[in-house]
Amino acid sequence: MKGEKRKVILKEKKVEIPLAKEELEVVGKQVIRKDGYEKVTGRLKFGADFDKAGFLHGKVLRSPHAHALIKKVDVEKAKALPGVVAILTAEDVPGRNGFGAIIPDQPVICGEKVRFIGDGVALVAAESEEAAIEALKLIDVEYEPLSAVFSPVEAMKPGAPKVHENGNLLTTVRIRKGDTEKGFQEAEVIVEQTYSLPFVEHAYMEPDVAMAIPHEDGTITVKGPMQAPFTVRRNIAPVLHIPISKVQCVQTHLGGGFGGKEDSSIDIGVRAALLAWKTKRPVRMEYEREEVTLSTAKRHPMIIQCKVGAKRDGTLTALEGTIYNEQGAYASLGPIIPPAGGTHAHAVIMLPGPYVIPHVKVDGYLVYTNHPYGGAMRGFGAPQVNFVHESIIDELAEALQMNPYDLRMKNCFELGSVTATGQVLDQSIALKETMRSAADQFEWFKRWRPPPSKEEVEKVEKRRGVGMAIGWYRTSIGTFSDGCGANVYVHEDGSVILHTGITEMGQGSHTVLAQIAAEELGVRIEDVRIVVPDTDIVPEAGPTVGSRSTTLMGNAIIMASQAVKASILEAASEILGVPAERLVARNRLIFDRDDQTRGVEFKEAARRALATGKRMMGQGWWAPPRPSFDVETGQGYPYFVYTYNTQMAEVEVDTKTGHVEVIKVVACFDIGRAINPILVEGQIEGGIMMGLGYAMMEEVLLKEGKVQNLNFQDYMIPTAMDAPEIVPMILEDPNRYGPFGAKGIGEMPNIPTAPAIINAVANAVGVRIRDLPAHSEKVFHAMRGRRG
Amino acid sequence: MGVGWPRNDVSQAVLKRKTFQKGKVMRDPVSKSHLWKKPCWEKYFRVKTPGEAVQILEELQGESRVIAGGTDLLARMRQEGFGVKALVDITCIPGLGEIRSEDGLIRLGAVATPKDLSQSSVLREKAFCLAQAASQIGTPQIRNLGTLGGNLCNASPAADLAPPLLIFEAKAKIAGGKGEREVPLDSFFTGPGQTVLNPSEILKEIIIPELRLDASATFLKLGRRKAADLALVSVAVLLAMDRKERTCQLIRIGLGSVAPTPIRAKQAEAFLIGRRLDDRSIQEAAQSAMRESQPISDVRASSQYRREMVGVMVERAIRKCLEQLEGKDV
Amino acid sequence: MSKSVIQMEVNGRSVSLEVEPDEMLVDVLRERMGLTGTKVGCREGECGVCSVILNGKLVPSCLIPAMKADGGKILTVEGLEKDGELHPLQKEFLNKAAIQCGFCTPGMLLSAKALLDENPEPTLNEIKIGISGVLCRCTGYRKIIQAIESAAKSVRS
Repeated sequence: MKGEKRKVILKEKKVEIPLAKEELEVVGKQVIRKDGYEKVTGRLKFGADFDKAGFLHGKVLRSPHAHALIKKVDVEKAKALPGVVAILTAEDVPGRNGFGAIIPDQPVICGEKVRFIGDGVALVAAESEEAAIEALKLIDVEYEPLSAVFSPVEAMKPGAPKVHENGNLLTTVRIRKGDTEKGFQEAEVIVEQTYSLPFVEHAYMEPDVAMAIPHEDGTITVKGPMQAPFTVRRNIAPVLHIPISKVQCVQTHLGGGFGGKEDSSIDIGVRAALLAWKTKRPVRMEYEREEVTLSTAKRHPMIIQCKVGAKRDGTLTALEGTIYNEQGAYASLGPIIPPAGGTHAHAVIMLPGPYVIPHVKVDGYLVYTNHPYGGAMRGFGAPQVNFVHESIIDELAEALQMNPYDLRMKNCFELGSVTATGQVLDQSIALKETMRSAADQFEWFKRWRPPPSKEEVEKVEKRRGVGMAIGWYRTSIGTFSDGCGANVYVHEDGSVILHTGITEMGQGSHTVLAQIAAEELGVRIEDVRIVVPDTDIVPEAGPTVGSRSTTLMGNAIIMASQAVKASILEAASEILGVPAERLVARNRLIFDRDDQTRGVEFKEAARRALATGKRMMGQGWWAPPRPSFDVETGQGYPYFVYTYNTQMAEVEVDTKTGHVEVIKVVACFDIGRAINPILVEGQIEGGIMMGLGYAMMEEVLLKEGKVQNLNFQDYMIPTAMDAPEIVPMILEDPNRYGPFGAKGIGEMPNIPTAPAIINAVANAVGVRIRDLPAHSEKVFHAMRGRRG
Repeated sequence: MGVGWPRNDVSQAVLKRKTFQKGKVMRDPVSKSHLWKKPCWEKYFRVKTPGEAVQILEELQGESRVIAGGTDLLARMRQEGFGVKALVDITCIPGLGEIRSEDGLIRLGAVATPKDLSQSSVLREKAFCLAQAASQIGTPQIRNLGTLGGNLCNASPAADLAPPLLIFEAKAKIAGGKGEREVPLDSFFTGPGQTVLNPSEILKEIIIPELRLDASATFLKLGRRKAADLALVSVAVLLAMDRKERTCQLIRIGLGSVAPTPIRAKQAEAFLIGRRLDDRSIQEAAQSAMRESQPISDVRASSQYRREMVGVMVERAIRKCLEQLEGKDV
Repeated sequence: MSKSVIQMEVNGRSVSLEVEPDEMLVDVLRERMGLTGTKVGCREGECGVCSVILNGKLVPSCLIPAMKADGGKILTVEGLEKDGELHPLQKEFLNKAAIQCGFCTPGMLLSAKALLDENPEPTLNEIKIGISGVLCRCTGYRKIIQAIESAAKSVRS
């Protein structure tokens, strides 16, 4: 029955899940995106497109040292420059001199020392950009360089330079399941390897920008492309030493985020706010492309040792892993948010992969260094560990002389499987089906051959190979504060306003969320308008991360819609003289379920509802079932539901140059329910391309702590010419806790692509790349090494 | 730990450091390395004749620069943060972008764009490998805006048009205050970012002969990505052979990105000339070209890899020329 | 610094503007004319989001001094729609969901327009080359390519 709640018990806690109706008008349809018209006509205003008149220009003076004490900052010459309005140093910060998504350990302006090349040492506000740049040159900073540390392994050694006072080891997370010693004794084949993953840049096309406007009443507004406006607000208030209620953060449409603008919008937002606060004038800051690469968060680099054991028949017996996760200079999104939030915990939890393994032991160390810092990037620790488990499973298959598909099928999750953290997967798990569907489409069994011998490789100039990888990814973020709220307003003409704090960064959330509201209310998609997230107006939504938007916010929207719909149905009941329970709202009409000729227009009912003083706004709040996780044993239910995925790739390797061309990728997903299938495909295709970049060309190169490839000529991302044929496939095994059965899709596609490609390279030319990216030179050297 | 990629092997590209000595460098490369500035200049001249350009360049000795497409110049001015007094835009000089064929010679105007070159029917017929190279420069946008002259005058070791022009033994026609002069292209480049042009001269034209009917030529580029990339190694080969004996009558090998300037692999050429073209001789020539190259390590690739790739690409280019010759009815 | 007056035809409209000698076309379009559909992503001609069509050719407006565009005819994304009717490319970008964040969309649309103007029946590879100068981090390019294929058909018919 519509409007009812279903009681569901999950791990000791009762959760109320709104029950969705069954025949659907708007959900599941390929609705054209709501912001599409504005985007194809160039009308949509991004942060940098707003009028600059009246704004001062803000700039950051950045540290050229990876680790140094600041002895003196002389700003006098810079202050004297015409056009300069303010130069701020650490003493000028009125409140907490620190920000961060989890721990505020990054100084807004460094006072005592700098911890990476790019750290902020002073802020400048000037009447023109030119004056601001000239002022930066005139600020005289005296540094006393300290010895720096650039590797997590080195940083853990006794006597290593301390990046922060409390030492370099930020967090340790473990998994202890069964007894791995026993597991390896039972094993007949054991494979042990070390893998390493580089820093990777988000490379969103829109550089960061922020506009801060102070008001006479002691409040301040900050606008810009924020992936998580509430996190930005939470950071600005203590820095300015004012209550959260005096800070308004307004999101502008993001020109791509991918996790990066969760962090960078805090960085630039806090600094712009501080300049505006001190100068009492509106301040605009924009980071140059190179500045974005130099100073904002990246995907964590990791060095991972992994060991797996199996019986001759392929049954996995044990897995051990050690993760050296490089945090870089600041905590960003690395550390734990209780119980299982943060990149590091997620990486540890995901390392054993979607496999049933009786004995598991993982130790994950998150370590500070003097490099730029790791943050959230599409997959949040999972692309790194997925590369490891999907590489080592293939290596194990080779050792067992098995088809890697069969080895996976034998061990991977299915309904009722128990994960390494002890979680029972009791619903919405079609991983094996995604493998079967992908294999059929790809013709895996026709195309897979065992890897070639050296001689076979040397005979030809080009060789093709196929590879596969599977993966799982959470929906939600595994913290106790994963709730989100929505307001739905119905107006007397039947039009609807939806307040949600979930941000639109291209993924299509605003279209999908509007579809959910329209479906639940019984109106059309065009009747629903979403207000741009504004922390003064919309309920707290948490960040737009963790592939959580559709599912978590979708539920909140259904609940909000149901609350306001009750008024409309009550009004319709008064008009029609039919009990409200019998009324159905669909496509702008409300009619009697038992006599469909009796009905009233939605807007007519809405008008009456307002006229008779009924509630015209509904609010809904939803949080996933309370997560649990113990960082010492790694046991618990960290995330309430997972998306599953199989990817298969075909590559062609030039045996003389090492150049790899990806020919085709087939990718099949169990996403519960596709609210908007064409947008889901968009997520799949984009994620795969980003994964292709991770596999083959992307790496932030560092030398003595300094980024060597700051621009798009040196930091390469795939172009249209690098695009393989992609076949996206969607399976729907409904999620009991999701709106209309949905679960997340944003990050999953980005995860198994790299190992699928690398496994295909190994299959083509018999060499295995264990450190990404596998650019031509690396593949060449690997082949050369094999030749001896 | 098993980190295979030689991260520490990466050294700064020669290119970025030494390209421009002229113009004021306004930022200290260490302490202010994070400043990027819109390029600035005080005057912008769009000249109508080469003489006018030369006159302005002479007046502002060293403080002005020629701009054609500006694709390289403006990006570098921004990266290096230098400004100049004036830019002298030569793209409006009538005829300076023409591609003409007369008396067995092809004349390429200095401001012809890569797009013009790649679509030119003259080149497609008579010097196809140059059109090929032009079609692989940068992006469609850069191919529309950049110029032949810019590609050569910026003197990047990776200039895509240089190797094919070297194998045609191109001549550069230069206009200056004292009139015009012609310089063979292989003595045009004097170092990374440096040419024989003095500050008040402009490159007017490149002159190449038509490809001999009994010869074939080809261009190959190895990048890291399939589009919009600088060459790690580029190779152009021109070959003619005695069809009966299969001996090499004429061979020219041009290499890009593997030395301070684009170069000819003259020892490899000398080795092959007169020899029978078989697997062994081709491989030995490729080995010789490898020895002649002196690539650097930078963020894109190591010198070792580049050198190895010279061998692979030279061998492939020679084989491709051979295939083309075998397909030709002469 | 002496300003100069330049004349341009932008999206069919003649304009005459006084510009600084070192002003860039992208800034003139965005800051002076309010045509913010043209984006800035790198200022070095590497990302392509600033692409416009100048005298029939696709160019990166971040690398063009405004003085160079004097006398030129410019088409920006704002000029694609005619009399309230979307260009077939715009329609197909919508239908095929070829847009995500939208930051590269103007550059992609103009790349596609320049391509179809020159080559109304492009092959898959020609389309890929045609848009290879604009980076897109969201879509994986597939839907953009599909949209161009389908717009090419509708332009022809």
